Amino acid sequence: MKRENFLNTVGLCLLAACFLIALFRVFGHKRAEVTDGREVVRFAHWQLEGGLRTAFDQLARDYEALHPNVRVEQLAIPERTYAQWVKTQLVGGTAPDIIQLGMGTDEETIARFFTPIGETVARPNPYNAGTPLEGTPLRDTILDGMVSMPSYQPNLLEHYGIPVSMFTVRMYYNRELWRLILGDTPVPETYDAFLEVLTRVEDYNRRTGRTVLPIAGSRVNAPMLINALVQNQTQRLVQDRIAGPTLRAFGTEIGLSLLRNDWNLEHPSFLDALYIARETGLRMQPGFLQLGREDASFYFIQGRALMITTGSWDSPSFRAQVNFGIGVFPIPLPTPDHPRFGRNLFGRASEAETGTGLSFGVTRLSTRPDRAIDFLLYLASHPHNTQFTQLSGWLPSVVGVEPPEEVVPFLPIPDGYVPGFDFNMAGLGANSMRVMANGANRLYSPHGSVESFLAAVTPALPSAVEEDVRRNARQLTLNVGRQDVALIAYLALGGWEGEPNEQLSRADRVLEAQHAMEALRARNLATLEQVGGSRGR
Amino acid sequence: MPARTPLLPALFASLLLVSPLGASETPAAATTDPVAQAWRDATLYLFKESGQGFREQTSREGRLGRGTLLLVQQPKTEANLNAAAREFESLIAEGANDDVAAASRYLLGRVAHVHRFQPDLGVAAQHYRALVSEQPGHLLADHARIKLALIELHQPGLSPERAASLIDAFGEEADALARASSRRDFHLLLAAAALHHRLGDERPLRHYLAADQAGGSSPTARANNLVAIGELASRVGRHELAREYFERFLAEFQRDNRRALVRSKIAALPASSTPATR
Repeated sequence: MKRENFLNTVGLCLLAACFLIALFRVFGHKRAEVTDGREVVRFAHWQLEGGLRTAFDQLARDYEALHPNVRVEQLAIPERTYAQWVKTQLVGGTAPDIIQLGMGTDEETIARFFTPIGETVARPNPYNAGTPLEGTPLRDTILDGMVSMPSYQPNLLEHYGIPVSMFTVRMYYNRELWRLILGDTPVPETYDAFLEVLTRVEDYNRRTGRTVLPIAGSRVNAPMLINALVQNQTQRLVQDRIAGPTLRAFGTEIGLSLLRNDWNLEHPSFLDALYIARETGLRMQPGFLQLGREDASFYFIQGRALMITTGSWDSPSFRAQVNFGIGVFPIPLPTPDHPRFGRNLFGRASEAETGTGLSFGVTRLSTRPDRAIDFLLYLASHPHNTQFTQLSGWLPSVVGVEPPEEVVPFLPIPDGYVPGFDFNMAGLGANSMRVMANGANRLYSPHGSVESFLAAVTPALPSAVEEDVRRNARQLTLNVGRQDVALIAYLALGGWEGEPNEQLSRADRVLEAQHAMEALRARNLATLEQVGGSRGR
Repeated sequence: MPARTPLLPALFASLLLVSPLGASETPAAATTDPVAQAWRDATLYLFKESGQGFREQTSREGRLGRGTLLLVQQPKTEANLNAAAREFESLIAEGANDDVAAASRYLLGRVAHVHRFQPDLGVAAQHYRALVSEQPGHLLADHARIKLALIELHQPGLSPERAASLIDAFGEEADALARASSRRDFHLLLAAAALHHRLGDERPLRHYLAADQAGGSSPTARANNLVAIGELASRVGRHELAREYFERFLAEFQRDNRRALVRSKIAALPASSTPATR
């Protein structure tokens, strides 16, 4: 036999063997699902933080005890590969029954692969029987009324997920280090008291030769603190120059108002935002923008940083990994009476609109969707969401659930004002975000300055904003185009006109949303043409 | 150089044929009416399944569905859009003055307005006008009127004076519509256009109020409308009206981060004996 034929045969045999092994594993997996005669419900998420998996395991075992014919399997997938994993599983037809929404689950994926749950949302949760929420429709038992993405998909006009938790951002501090460096100093409630803490840490380092970081920063953690300060400083600017009579402004409005010269980057409020961002950024480790979330976490966990800004999701993980006490307080922001920065704001930003998260959807691939939804209803019921928050240390999503003591500092603070915009310009788009990010090193470097940042950003920002507004207009066009199809479908299903029914009601919602989106698109493009003309284009 | 055998590609191709990738994994709720099922798939954005459902249909509604689904068929091509337009024109040419004809005319306007890579607003306006003329009482004719207003109010180089006169004329047209939901959408468009053209506070206030009286807005839109009316009324000195709408907003929207700002605006309103006239 010729050598090449021999190699081909060997290759073919190897491939065939791999194929057979793969087949065996796939069918073997199916067999494993039914070997003990129980229904299997599998759910996947990317939350590897400590405490959460244990909580889910406990809830799953309790659910199994309640339903002896059911087995619940938890799949915790690393965050870095989650999006690809979800896509692969969905397209390959091997996805679990339940998947956490929010990563790798864009609108098209949700529409194609997830089960709409509008009817479930409108019905009472049976697991709330005997609680104050008995008889209340599910959506009214969830803290945000289930109006937040990803549970609700506004373009699809449909619910696809049931949320189990919610998230806020706070300052964490190392209690032992605090006591060592600052004695009995209380946690700061004002911005100046916060700055004083940072200065005292630096003094301590100078005195002792230690290198305790006042705040552990990273490209993920630092913006949580800095953007809160920037939003604080742009609060009045938004109301005075940008927002219309609805008293709020979104990304495109912020960008267009900049192009229209309603304000500019040298507006006193924005300059103050830059100064305050630099003032804080300089207290983090040099080069923090190059570091990942885990780097900042290590600094804090190893006791090398006094504070870190992060979300409520990290609390149980940190507590499980450290041998010191952890304290938590809200980010201390300037108040209206602050002598320098107070002029730019009305008051603390409200967290009233904090949306729920950790939302799970049921895939269309599930062979037991009713069971999967039932398990989610169990997790989102008053008694079991109470159990969830106690076991996990995460915030609850259900109305009236009392969180344990260590979770209380994370509860959203509803009182306060509409926030301003941050360096992401309220999510205007990738181009403007890139320009701001490219200038960030100049702002936070000891050798940099606000002026240096402005010199880099000012010339580049207008074209980036314009491109983002155009991109936003293209997305709106895509959305309204798809909605044309949904509109005609709802009208046809609802009998076009006549007695009110659910389909006609949905057609009305589509029309209302479509008109609003098209008007926004037309206004944005018309404004671009106007400012383009005035800029000599 | 030894010849390479195509074994590997062939094996992958055969694997694809037997794998779940080759099968539709998105079963929708079973129904006996294939046209209704295809529409249902369309409402769930399952456009591929919906398009397949309409493919063999010969009824007028089935053909409307086939044309409609061509608008979102991937890849989006001018050929598909032309085929959709031909289907709509053929349905109109059959002479029936029914819902399918109204939808076909409306969608012809939408093809030129939104779906073409290069929109043709002139052609879109022609179709919208034709629908208003052919079936003036149809729901979609109401919305064709709103689209016509949208096009006219955002023409390049429109002067503020012309915009103001157009908005006033469209306002009368909006008031004459029989359906409350159409009045609502029309007046909201006019309010936003008046703000866009910076025509002062009275004109957008008038249209926000008309939209509010029509009712039926979604919660998000309603919250915005209540705040906008309160704010505009406050700016033009109609303090009691401002107070009324701000208080309605506070009563209805407990989880809105504008509450503190609205409360401070109420506190800043001077006490007035002016009734909250609309």
